Amino acid sequence: MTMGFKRGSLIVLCGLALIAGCASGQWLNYPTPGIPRLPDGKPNLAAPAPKAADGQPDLSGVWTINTAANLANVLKPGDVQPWAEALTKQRQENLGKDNPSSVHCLPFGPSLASATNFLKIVQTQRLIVILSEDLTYRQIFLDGRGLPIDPNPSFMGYSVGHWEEGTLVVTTTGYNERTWLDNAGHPHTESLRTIERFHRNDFGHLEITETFDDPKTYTRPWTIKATRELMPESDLLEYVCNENNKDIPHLVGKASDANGAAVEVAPETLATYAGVYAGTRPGGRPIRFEIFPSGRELWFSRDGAARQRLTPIANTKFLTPAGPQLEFLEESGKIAALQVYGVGLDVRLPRVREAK
Amino acid sequence: MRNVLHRGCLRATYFLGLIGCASAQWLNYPTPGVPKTPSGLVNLGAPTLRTADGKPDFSGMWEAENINGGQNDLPVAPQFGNIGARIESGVPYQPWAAELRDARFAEHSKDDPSTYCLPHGVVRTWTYATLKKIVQVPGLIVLLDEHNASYGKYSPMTVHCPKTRTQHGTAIRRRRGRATLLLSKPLAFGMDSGWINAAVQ
Repeated sequence: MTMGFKRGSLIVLCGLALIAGCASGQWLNYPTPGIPRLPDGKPNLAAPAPKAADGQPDLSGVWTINTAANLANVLKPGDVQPWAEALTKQRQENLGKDNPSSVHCLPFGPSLASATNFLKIVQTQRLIVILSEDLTYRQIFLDGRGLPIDPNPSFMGYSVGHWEEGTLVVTTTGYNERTWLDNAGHPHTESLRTIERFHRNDFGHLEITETFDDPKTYTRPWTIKATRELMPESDLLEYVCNENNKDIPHLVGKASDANGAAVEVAPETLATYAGVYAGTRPGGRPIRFEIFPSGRELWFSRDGAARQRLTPIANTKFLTPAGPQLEFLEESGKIAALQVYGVGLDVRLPRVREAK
Repeated sequence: MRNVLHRGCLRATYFLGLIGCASAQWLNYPTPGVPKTPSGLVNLGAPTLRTADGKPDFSGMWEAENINGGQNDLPVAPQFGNIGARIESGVPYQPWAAELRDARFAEHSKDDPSTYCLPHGVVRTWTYATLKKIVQVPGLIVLLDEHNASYGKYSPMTVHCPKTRTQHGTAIRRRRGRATLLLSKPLAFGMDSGWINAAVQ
């Protein structure tokens, strides 16, 4: 029967793969049946969270990131072991050119659930599968099995979960140490153990907290929070990182190279930039920069993340540590907007609030 | 560097066989609810399982049938090396396609997309030596593949195929009696990027 199915499928695949009869664009606007709707027909994201057949919350669906987790907001001086702190700084000095996922196309690893990628959750009573747009997946077993004792280290680790009062609690061990925990380059070892808590607050919102416990790298367990929003009537798109990946030869230079291009900007000029600049990126996701002058320095926070120092390269232009450039735009003698230039990012953000 | 490594891996796969994994995973975890023979072994000849809606349940781990002895510990379908292995008169290639196939043979498949860590597409997914896991829920079947820890999705026939060309295609299924037909389209087939077998004999 098995082979019959396979042979039949294969032949049909070969024979019918090129037949006509397909219509419409992608499945990005395919109506999801059975979801709660508002009077205007739009999905009601504030409706109660759905339940699975076993009575537990049903986490199924495509989820986009709403509020990204930020490690820099959580980790304090002394939380990171000296070797890990040095390695993180080295990775930042190298401008992230060794980033395993975004540069070398390897799986996200332990930060999958809290990273800024789209996810699809497929839930059964005994198994939850999390699909990522990069075509990798992760399995969470709910069948009562224990964690493996001495597992072969892997990118996604080995996950078991259970329900606690409507919250899915997932423990994972067995990670390899080839992944970074964030784009800043925070490392981990094979000793890492993560505990994630997934709570669907309502139909459209998923809250995720993830605790990282890796005593070889960090002096205490620490926890990040992220929220995701449901994308009903949509689906994942393929993102094949290795397809036409030509970045690597161009990733040259050091973060400290920017110091040579730095110029001095008068504190009174820097003071005119203070405030909040906000708007939306192509695709509609919000983006927000807050600017903080501090004496002869200018600092920024992006999307509520930790403050970082800007390097001035002209009176109105500044470099961020991660690469994107910021330019303050003047209209009628006042700073009116912030232009953000970066890879895949070229957006003008109106000034929505001056300094308090 | 990466490509060198993966060419090495690919050759190892073809000519040396796949290396067995350590035994401390969940490789021998008993699957609850499966039919057993009197001796306690899993009864692969038992009737097909059904889902709650009465449809055949494909869920589970699946490996290729062991026709050629496999590659060390993993069985390999004959279509892995030749997609037309079970077509009596061979694959009815167009001349350009036969020429391309021959050129790929002559080059020892060095341009195989798998060599470059690209997905091998939905057709080769079924013939590749790596194990597959099917997760079936109403309205969706997910095929998990050990290769690159990747997956493919199959949706019910109530939707239409999209036009976008992708490595894995986008698949829909249609039930005809007891059988399931998988219609995949559009794929990045042929000269674009996808191969439908490993082009090794």
